[in-house]
This record gives sequence, structure tokens and C-alpha cells, in this order.
Amino acid sequence: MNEKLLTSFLTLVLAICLTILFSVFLGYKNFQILASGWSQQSTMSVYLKNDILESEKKSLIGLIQNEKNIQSTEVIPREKILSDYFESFGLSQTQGDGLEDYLDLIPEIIEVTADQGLILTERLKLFQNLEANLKNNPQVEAVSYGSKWLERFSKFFRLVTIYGIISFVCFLLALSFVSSLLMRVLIEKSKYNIEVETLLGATVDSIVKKYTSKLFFMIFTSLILALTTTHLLVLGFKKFALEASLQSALTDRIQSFTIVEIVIFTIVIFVFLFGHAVNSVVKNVKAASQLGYD
Amino acid sequence: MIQLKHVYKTFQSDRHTLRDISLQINSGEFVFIQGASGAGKTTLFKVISGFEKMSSGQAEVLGRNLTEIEFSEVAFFRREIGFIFQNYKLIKEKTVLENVLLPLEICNIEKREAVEKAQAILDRVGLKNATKDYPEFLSGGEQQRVAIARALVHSPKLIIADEPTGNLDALLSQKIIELFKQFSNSGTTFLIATHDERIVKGPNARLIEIERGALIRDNVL
Repeated sequence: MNEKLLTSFLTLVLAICLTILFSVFLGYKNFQILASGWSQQSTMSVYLKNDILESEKKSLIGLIQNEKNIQSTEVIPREKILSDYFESFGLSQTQGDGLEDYLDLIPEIIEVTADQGLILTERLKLFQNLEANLKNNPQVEAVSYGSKWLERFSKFFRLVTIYGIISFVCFLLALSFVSSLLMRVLIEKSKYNIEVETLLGATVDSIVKKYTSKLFFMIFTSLILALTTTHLLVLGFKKFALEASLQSALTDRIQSFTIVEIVIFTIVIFVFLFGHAVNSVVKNVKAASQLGYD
Repeated sequence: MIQLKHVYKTFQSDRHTLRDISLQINSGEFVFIQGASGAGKTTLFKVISGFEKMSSGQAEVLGRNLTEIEFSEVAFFRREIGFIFQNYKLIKEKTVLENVLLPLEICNIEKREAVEKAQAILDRVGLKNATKDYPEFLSGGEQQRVAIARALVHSPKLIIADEPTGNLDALLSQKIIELFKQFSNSGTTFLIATHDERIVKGPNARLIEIERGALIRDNVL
């Protein structure tokens, strides 16, 4: 295998490894988004005291809307709550005549809907903040947002995130060893050429520079290849999901990379892979250049 | 050009050692270094070209004191020497022209000037029409001529040829030596290590014989 073919092969190996890494990342990211979207628990109910004044209600709504990531607030009147209550027992409003006396006992509710874009952990944090702000408010009777369910899933996601980060770092470390090894193979393959160049007066620095440029090109190319492939996989999955008649509301939420993620990945990949492999290049070129005359 | 004073080189195996080598080679000389395999010819060349540090003694080559030379300077020092080997040491992925261009690229010579120089030297060694060929498709004699062209293209002051005819038949060997002599007439110093007595001939040549690392004969032929 000549040097050019070997370089292309090594670039491809790196690209495949990076594609696996990026696919797992996007899989995790989209699983979190989809799981959050699937849940109906994006609303929080604020039960109001019976004797609340209209002005107090308005200021309470204002207080809630001051929080970030609130999509909407809706006041549900007692009559609606009562009719929903009848309907839940299969009764018509007329069959419930006489129960209007109890209307005053039913608390009004402000239904707070969080932004749909929030993932579970962010939603839980928002509702916990709201709960803390409203708990001691004299006009509020109680708040409810399915906290147990949310907390359970948040714990699960937190666990998945921690394992995800650990796995990501481990995979990246393994990949940096692989790239160092690949550079070693490439230099080993080019050992004879390095020897000849040293013999003809090439400095170790100039040879290191040559291989470092090659390494930079290899990592950059494999990064572009991996990002493109993963992006195409996401698009392909979206198409497949739509054809499999999954809810379009869900498939629309499947995301590829954001610019920030691409920048972060590029920096991290270069720091890990390039940094580690350059060290291997310097060591192996120095070793090969000692043998020029032999 | 080359001045060695009481040079010793000892390896752990005690093979390939140099013992008390003292000699002076002037600019433009054509010198054969003769000796059996393992006599120390290659070690002497390694010391002269800065690939090996001597164990003791003093060596001054091309105006540089090799006992004091810095590692970073060695590469630049080697650019003033042309090397020719028995196994040619050509890069098989490069064409004949690219192989000959290599020393000029290392010396950062401008591309157009480098190509002109490379083509001119290939013309002199009779390989004008083989510039685009790859070394593996050439005969042994042709490959050695490419190696000679590569060694001479950047006009070095000193040529070190280590068994340059080792893989060639008698006729080709003679032609290679004649080629060396043509270049030697233009002032380049040649140091040729060989154990092939057939090529060691005058006129205007000097013979240095080494045995077990020691200089035993130094004659003008």
C-alpha cells in the first residue's frame, strides 16, 4: 500500500470513528428532545384561593409570566372546571343541577404551559423555580405539575448524561490513541523516505512539519466527512420516520448539529486527536531520522 | 577540506571501530577508501558526514569542527555533501526527476531553477529521456546514475560514495567511475569506499586502505 492510499485509508478510519461518536451524540440529543416532547407534563396548575381579587389574579399572572421559557398562561374559570368534572363522570350539565351551590368551593386554576422546546430537566427546573416563588404567595392554594414523574425522568436523563459524558471522553481518548497509532503506522511506512530525506539534509523540524500538515489535513477531512455523514443520517432518519407515519410533530423536532456544537466538536477533536498525534509524529520522525545512513 | 586527527570510534560490539585515523584530504581530490567488509569504511564515512560521533580525536570537515557541531547544524552540514550508495536509496514513489529535485527542495531552491538544474544534471548522466520514469522500472546502472545526479544536483563540495558499484557488473562499474571522474574534474571532492579492486585506478587518484579500523596505506595512484 503506497503512502497516498494509506493516508486515504487512515482518514477513512478516523471518519468512521468520528461518525460513530457524532451519531451517538445526536441520538442522545434527539432522544432527550423527543422524550420531552412525548410527555404531556408541560403544564403546571396553580390553584388559587377562593377569595382572590381580580387585581391580585392579574398581578399573579404577571409574576408567572416574568419567568423565562413560559409559553402561555390560562385562567380556567370555576364553571369550566365544574363542567369538566361532570363530563368526567359521564353526566350532562343539567343532571348536575343544584351543585352550583358548591361552585364557590372550587378553586380557580391558572394553567402555566412551559416552552415546548425545553427538555425535561430544564422544564423541571422551571417548574421548581415557579413552585418556590408561588408557594408562600397568600393568593395561591397549591401548585401541581406532575413533579414525581418529571423528577424520575430528570434523574434518568441526568444519569444518562453523566454516563454519556464519561463514554464520550473515553471514546475520544481511545480515538486519540488510534490516531497516534495510525500516524505511527504512516511514519513507519514512510520510514525509508524519512531516512533518505534526512540523509539529503532535511531537518527533523521540516519533516515533522510535513507530517503534521498531513495529520491536520487527515483530521480536518475526517471531521468534515463525519459531520456530513451524521447530518445526512439525521435527514435520512427523519425521512424514514415520516414515511413510517410517526407523528410529524415529533419528527419535526429531530435536530442535527447546531453551529455551537460543530465549533465545540472541532475544538475538542483537534485538542485531543491532533495534540496527542503530534507528539507521536515528533517521536517517530526523530527515531526514523537517526537511521539515514543505514 | 577533511582533516582527521587521531580519530577513534568504538561500538559496544567492538566491530566497525576506527583506530587512530589521521588523514587530510584536499579540495578536488579523488580518493578511494579500500578495505574488506567490516574494516571500518562505512563508519569512517558516518563520522565524516556527522551520522556518528567519534569516541575521541578531532575532525574538521568542510570547515566545521565535528567535535563541537550542534545537532541542529548537522542537517545543514549534510546539504554540503552528496551521498551515493550501493542500494541507490531512491524513493520509489517519486519519478526520476522528482528524486533528483529532492535535495534542491530541501535547500529551498525556487521550483523553476530547480527543474532546470535537475534536467541539466540528468542530461549529463545520460538520463534526459527518463525524467518521468519511476526508479523501479530502470536498470541497476540507470538507478545508480539517478543517484549520482541526485548527489550532484545541488553542487556539493564533497561526494561520499559508499560501495557505489557493489550491485553493478564490471563494465557498468567502470562507466560509473568514469562518470565520477568527469565531475571530479570540475572541482568536486570524491570519497569512494569500495572493496572492488577492479575500479581502483588512476590517474590522479589516491588510495587509502583500512584494515580493522586502522589506516594501513595512503598512496597516490
